[in-house]
Amino acid sequence: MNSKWTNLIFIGIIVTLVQVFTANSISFYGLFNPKIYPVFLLLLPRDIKPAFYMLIGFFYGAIIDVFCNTYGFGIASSVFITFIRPYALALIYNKSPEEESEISVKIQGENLVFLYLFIGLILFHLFYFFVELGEIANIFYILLKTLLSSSLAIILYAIFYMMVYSLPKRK
Amino acid sequence: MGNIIVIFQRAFPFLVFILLQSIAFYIIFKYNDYHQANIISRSNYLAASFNEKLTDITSFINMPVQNESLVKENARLREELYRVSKYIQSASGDSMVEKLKLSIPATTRVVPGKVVSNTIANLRNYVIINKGRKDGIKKDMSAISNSGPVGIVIDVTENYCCIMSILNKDANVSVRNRTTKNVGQLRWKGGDIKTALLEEVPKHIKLKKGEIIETSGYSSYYPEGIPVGTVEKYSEDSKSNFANIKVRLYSDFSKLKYVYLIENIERQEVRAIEDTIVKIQKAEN
Repeated sequence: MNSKWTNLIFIGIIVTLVQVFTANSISFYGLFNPKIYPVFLLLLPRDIKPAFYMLIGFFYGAIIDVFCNTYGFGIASSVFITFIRPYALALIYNKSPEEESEISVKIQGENLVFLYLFIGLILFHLFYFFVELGEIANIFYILLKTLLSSSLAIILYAIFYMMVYSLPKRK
Repeated sequence: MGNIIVIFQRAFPFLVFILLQSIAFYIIFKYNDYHQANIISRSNYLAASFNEKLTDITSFINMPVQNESLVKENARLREELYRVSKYIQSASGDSMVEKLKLSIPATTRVVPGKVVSNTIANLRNYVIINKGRKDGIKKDMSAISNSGPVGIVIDVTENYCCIMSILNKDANVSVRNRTTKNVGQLRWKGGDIKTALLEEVPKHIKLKKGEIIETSGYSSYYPEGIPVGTVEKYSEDSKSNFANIKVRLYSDFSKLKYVYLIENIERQEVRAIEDTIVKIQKAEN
């Protein structure tokens, strides 16, 4: 129980730092704007009560907003992703939260966890960019930006994951 | 009765979702407006001082590049200073220079500042500077870098100020063509951070690629004649009366480290007149 939470908090701190210091300065013709911080919310255990989970999303989004000067967009998207997560997870995984509360590579395997994170990040980016632009007119631009940014975000997380968890074991 | 409780229990997460989302959208609408972004008050003091420490490290690494651009700017200013003083001296005697110094009222005040945090990836970007109320920074002052305008001060705390960058969907800069003096509005609509759009230029004014665009001084935020960028692409649209012009900006916002905060002392007066005009227009309607 304890090591699970220290692990999650460690991931939370790292993704926040990566977001604030690295990902925020990526802007290639405005098409890449990766948000890696929702990974923390996506990896939280599934047996947290929905309302409490959304509150965590709210406050985590607020912290990110303060550091990234995004004024509310982080909160809105984080709350959205915490609300939508059970439905997103049901798409690819059929075990109930009571059966398996933890989401981790050790239990579900690398493929499934990364697929789940990718779907979560796509939903997050889609919502974020829609709210940020505030109009439906440029739907193709938003879709392209969503796809590119979420791919880059998952790649960033994969790099972090390999550096921290995979490499030391191979020694 | 039992049914109502069950329904409520089922709907509870959704209700929480709606509540939290409304708070989020309230924050979005309140703080992303051009004149009402007054967020950095307390919460951001922590973030700003944290970011400042990090900026110290990165600016140390970037020192050679920054030094070079500062030296260049110094050289340009010195050149201008010599030219002006020579011109004055040739026009009149030495004593005239002294007289001029006394009689020209100071209309602008310049405060140098260092960038503490800067966003470029969003549609609404903000820059935070390590100068605040105690350095005499006020709301509506403008910020320029050595390569062009940066933005307008929208919020001031004791030690920091928040600038709405020109790379912000809601910001616009009044600009003109350096040679013909035709005025237009410079706006940024997302995408590439090195180009912006020049709007409200009628079709009959043809601009060539490479023409210099500078600030017009009409908005009374930025001083007149600061180079902003060059025309990159000029095209006409049959649907509207205005041309589509793409401007390549001189400033590279991803490398922004130092800015000058400029206060136009006469701005208050200009603003007062503008306000009366608005009032008269309203009364007429």
